[in-house]
Amino acid sequence: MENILFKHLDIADLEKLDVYVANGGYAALGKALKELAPAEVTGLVTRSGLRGRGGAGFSTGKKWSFIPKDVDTPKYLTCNADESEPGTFKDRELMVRNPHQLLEGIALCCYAIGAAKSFIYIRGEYAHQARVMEKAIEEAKEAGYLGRNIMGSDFSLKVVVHRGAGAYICGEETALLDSLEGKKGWPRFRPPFPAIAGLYAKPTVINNVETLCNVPHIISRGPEWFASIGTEKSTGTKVFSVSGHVNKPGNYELPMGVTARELLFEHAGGIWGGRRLKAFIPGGASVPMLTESDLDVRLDFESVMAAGSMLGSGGVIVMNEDACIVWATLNLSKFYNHESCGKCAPCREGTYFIVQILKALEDGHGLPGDVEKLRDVATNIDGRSFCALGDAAAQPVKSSIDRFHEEYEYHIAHRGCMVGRS
Amino acid sequence: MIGEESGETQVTLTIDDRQVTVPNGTLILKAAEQLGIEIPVFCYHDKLKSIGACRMCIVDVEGLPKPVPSCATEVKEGMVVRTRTPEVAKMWEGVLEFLLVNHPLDCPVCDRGGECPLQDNTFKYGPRDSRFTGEKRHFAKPVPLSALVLLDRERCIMCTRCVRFCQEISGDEQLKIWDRGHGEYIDTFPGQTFDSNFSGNTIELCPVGALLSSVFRFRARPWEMKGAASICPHCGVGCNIRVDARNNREVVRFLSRENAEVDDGWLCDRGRFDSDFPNSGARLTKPLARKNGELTPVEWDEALDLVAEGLRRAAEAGPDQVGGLGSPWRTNEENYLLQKLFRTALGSNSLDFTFDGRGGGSDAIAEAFREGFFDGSISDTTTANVIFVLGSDISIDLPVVDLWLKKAVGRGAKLIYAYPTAVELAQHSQLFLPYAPGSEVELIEGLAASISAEEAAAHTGVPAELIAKAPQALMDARQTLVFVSGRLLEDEIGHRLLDALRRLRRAAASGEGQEMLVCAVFPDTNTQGAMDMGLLPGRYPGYRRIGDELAMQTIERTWLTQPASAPPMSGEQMLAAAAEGRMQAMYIMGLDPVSRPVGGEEIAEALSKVGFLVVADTFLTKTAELAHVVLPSCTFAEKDGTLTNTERRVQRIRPAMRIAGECRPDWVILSEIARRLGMEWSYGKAEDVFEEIARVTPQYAWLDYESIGEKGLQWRTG
Repeated sequence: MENILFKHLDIADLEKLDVYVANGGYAALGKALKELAPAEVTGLVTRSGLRGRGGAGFSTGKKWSFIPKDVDTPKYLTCNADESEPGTFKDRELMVRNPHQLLEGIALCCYAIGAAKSFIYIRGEYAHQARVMEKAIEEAKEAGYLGRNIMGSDFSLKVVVHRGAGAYICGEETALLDSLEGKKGWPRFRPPFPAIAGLYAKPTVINNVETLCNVPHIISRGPEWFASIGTEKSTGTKVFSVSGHVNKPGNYELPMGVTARELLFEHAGGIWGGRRLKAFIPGGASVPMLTESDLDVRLDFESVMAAGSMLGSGGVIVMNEDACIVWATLNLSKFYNHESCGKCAPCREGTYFIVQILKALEDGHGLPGDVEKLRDVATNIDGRSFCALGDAAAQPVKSSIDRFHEEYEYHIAHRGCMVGRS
Repeated sequence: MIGEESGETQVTLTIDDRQVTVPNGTLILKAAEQLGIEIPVFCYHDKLKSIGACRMCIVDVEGLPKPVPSCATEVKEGMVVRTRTPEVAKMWEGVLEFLLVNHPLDCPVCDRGGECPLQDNTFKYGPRDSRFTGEKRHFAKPVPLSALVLLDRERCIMCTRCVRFCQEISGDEQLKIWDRGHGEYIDTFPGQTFDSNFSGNTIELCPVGALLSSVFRFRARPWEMKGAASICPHCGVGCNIRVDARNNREVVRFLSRENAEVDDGWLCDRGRFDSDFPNSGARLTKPLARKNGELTPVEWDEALDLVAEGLRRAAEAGPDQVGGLGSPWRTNEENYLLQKLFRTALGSNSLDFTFDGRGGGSDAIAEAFREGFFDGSISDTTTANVIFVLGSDISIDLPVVDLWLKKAVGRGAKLIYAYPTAVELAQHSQLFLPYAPGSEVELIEGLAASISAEEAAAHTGVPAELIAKAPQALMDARQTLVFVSGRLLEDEIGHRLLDALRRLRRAAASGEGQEMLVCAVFPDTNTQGAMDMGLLPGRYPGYRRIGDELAMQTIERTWLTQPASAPPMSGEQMLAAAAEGRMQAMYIMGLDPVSRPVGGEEIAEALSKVGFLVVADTFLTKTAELAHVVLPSCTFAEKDGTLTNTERRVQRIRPAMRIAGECRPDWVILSEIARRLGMEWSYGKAEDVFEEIARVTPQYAWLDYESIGEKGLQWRTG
């Protein structure tokens, strides 16, 4: 399989502008500015079937088409580079190894939606990545790929890098907007949707880094080419971040629909320590766990959903048979409790409640009925919280209880783990 | 589907199998309310923007994948909502369980216990048992946010109503949310105190016992209290309050009793927290009479006999030797009876409610009231395009009107603020005109463009380019509302100011459909009522001139005796006469001029020369200390009556607690004195006095206690 987003694996120094350009970089932008009307760019992206890589999998072209046309008001593209989903580290590599690919995608989107200003909201911990992006922006500006009258056209664009201050919630697109506006990062009530009233109450598109990185290739090589990769409804490639108990953790760009077995055993080198696979979370921490019996599930939006989980961000977290599920769930739940923004009661108090129960179980103080209580508390959060963070917090709890109920009960009966922790 | 659509179209939806038709844009919560279906809420409040945060009000909507917050979701045609299914019941129970996870169950020692939405909703919709056995979050508590407001952070459920009040209503942004998740809390900015003029409203907004009043804390349980529908006694706005008294013995707090035309549901801190005075141990509770130079407790009969005898004797010496001072802090009924006593039994027209000098302005203002010049209302701030404030620091003079003005600015009204210094509201204005005191007339001439902006600038010291901005704004406004300081109107320049305002009205209301409304600003509680009742030298009740034949006939028909026609003295003139030893007797009701910050000593000296001084008041004031007889009056919390606010709205006060000691309402005291002076007064209750007021005061002719009701009515001319 050809590397598309990860061409930097084949070409040295691709982060440098001249190398990027020498390898066909900014040709898509040049083509769009010369030959395509903005609506045609959106049309190509829609036809390619590209879906958002941040986790929700919404049609990118459709999202762009919601931006009001012929309205005399500023519009914005906000690139979500907050990448704080546990187990997800693809955007980091995309930005550092090929920053101009992202900038070209940003420029194409802004051209399509009529935005003259774009923000890259990057997580605070990505200091190096932010510097790389800023440097790339300067280079691109000097070379005329950003700034005023890009490549001799009427199109001008300013790209600003904004560093977050360390909150998971700011990866939620509306909390991101509040944070970008200088407010406390709390998600907003929808409607209005960002396409109508987003950043500074103006029409705004929010796209993930990986999503935007796909756009130059779609424009260069055509939507049909793109749609020929992957499955019918999940087109293109996906960058999977594999972490945990595998021999070769890392990012792997593979066509949508690759099986989990192929990803973990052929690409990621198999399960660490020669042990058996116990569980894997296919889409970042926020989706239900799958088990060994799900290894042949195809990793595309529909198939993973059918298996009872979600493709999410494509961050695959692997646990071998030595991992204690109760401990792992406590570890994840502590994350959500720490990161809950506090706006709604179910998430703010529910994640706190969950951690308290799991701690008792883990410490050997669990009581009969605790597992049912734990599952019920998670159910009371799921679907009732203000934003997806609460839903996300419920998934590891519910799915681990459903799949590893006996391990929980073992903790109560024996006041300790069923498995040796590695 | 997104954004605002016309609110005119109607939408029909089904809630719990019942149909309801409501305007497009209505929230599900409000549509359910129309059907009498209760949906519990915490973060939602009618006066604040919906945020849909707490999730208490989530309901099922057919066809939607997840439940939606009914407080933030608008109705749609054909929508099918369910609020009483087992699924919704479980969701509500779940949300309440979450809210209680970190909430201390200290209801028995919490001020809110017994009137707490969290407690009530838990009983109605919450879990029977607590499943949470872990460690609750702890905070130091209570945290004093200010001397008046305390915060118990453990009880806080983060509904953020208080934060949003500071953002959306008071606009001072003093409270914020700090930290994140289960560790977050409400606080001021570091090192700041919560010194908003309106901080107390957050206590009332708080749906739990997190925000507490330092005045009320631990004072009473809800079941020990009874509330009286009354009026705040502390300024001329006349905010509607509920006076809560514990066991009928002591006033423990004031709560807002929303009047959409007066207070919009808010109280200022000055009003809300000054609720304790009726309970004071320093109250006068027994009449005092001077014996051997000392004020000595006596029985009522003895005191009243002394007063009647003293006044009668003095009046015999001549009507120009007796005078009475009423009060902006007494009811209309009491001020009315005071002037009636003097104008009948004592033959004197020397009546006023202040010793302050009035350089002739009072006659101009009286005339303006008589002819109905003042027609503006507080609620006109909701429609006016331009609001012009002249010479009043509204935030101090009429605090709650400050909120009305901010609300008006928020909806796009232009605020033109003319005041000598940059007060807080000036910062919210579109045009601030800091003029030199005394140049008000020229400033208005400039605004009316009847003199050039340059000429006005030369007089006022306001840059001409600022003045020049006003005429166009006034010309463009469909409705202009003017708040003008009553103090300026009473002053030397009063009549010139009124003339200037008349010219401004002609300029600002020259076009088709244009109007300019004017409201006088009287900071004290019942200044308007005191003037209405005829405590103005030279005017009978209703601003009719002394000697006016028609007026005298009308009054005589009711009083069954001719009102005095003797030449009147103003307060200032009475004071001068007293200083020269020419006042035989004075009756001062509810006023303490000796305690004034400036000029009090001169007043004390003059009053000490009055032959016979009677003071009726609630405390032994410095003025009362000079009196020959001191009569203990009731506070506003112990009696019936009416007050007339700065926009001429007559509102009722009602007794909230039993009368302290042997105190009596002033209208009773005055009736007793009148009886001893041979008058046949037969008022059984304050309402009887008001009925008479309506007969002799044209502006009040259409008012009675019943029609005034709970919300008050404005008086009108003609």
